[in-house]
Amino acid sequence: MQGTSIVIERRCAALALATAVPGAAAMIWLLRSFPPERYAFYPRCPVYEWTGLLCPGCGATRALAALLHGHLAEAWRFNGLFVALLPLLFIYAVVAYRRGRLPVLPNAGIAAVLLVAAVFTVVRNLV
Amino acid sequence: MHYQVSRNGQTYGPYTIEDLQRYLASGNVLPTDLAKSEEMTEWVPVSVLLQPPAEAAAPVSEFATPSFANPDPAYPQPVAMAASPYPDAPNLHWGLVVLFSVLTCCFAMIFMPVWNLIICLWLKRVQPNATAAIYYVAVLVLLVLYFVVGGAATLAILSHSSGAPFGAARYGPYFGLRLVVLLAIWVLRLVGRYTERALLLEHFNTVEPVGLTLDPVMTFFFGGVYFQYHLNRINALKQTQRFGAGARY
Repeated sequence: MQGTSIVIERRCAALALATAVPGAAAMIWLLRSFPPERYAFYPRCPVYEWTGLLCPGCGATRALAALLHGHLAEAWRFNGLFVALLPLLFIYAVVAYRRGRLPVLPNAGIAAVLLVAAVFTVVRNLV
Repeated sequence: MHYQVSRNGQTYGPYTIEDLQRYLASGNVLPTDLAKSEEMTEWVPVSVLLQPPAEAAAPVSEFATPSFANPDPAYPQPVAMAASPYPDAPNLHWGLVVLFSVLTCCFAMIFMPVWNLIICLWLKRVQPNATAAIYYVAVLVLLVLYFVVGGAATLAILSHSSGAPFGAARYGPYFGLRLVVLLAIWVLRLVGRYTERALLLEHFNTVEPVGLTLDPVMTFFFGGVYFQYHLNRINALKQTQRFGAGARY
């Protein structure tokens, strides 16, 4: 039945691609045309709104917008963790699509990334 | 009394005698599977265990404790695992579920309800009567509503002042509405979570009996991540059954 499972995962990968490509194109257009710093309609982080604390994802939208304008240093200031992980996420997505199944990652690597995210969150709220 | 079931060196359970009778009738447990309670000293075939008392008194010494290191190659393959007609659950590592959730923290961890929905759609494939997906669809709709109202609140603040700092919207207009929507999201997520738990328990203790147990308190606090942790383990178990001990997840 493994064959069935792979076929279903390939279908899921095709569906994900069919939604991700137009979605990504729309997002790129939106972020390039309407920078989050100048337009207020972008969602506000609920964690920051209700607690005043910066979450690990705070600034990711602005960082992505800055990257799309080629401003790497500015993107890094908005959310360094997101900028550092973005290439890895991209590679993960590409490998997942090419294989038709989610790649296996070492537990130690995932634990290390989660640890870095936790430290990043603490530090950005202290500094 | 509860019994463990052993097949090809892998143990499942514990199950009650009623569970064993039901699984035997449904074909998920084979008469040749071995079973043992804590009080028993030897493994006995399920067929012997479920015999009427007079027959069960017959000697069973020929069914010695199985060798787990060298399972008999002629032993029937597990019906519920290797030959399972059910597709594996989506196998994203639970650590990545945590990571993607915290990275989408600014969008109310939207990855989590999306992933819950994906799991529920898989549940719908393996259990056609599964209904948990509707709760997560409702959660996603309410999240969109929450952000739309939040955007409207921010724009209302901006129209009355020269600038609105981050966080200003929490004291601004629509505060009550946003709070109610957040509470509704929280309640729906909990209902969806426990419905999903019941479906997972039903599936992995009947049609694919791996003896899954899900702690209700862990479900309350960790929900989707906790489920994914168990689904990863079940997928690893199924992979091991298919490809031998070298398989890993």
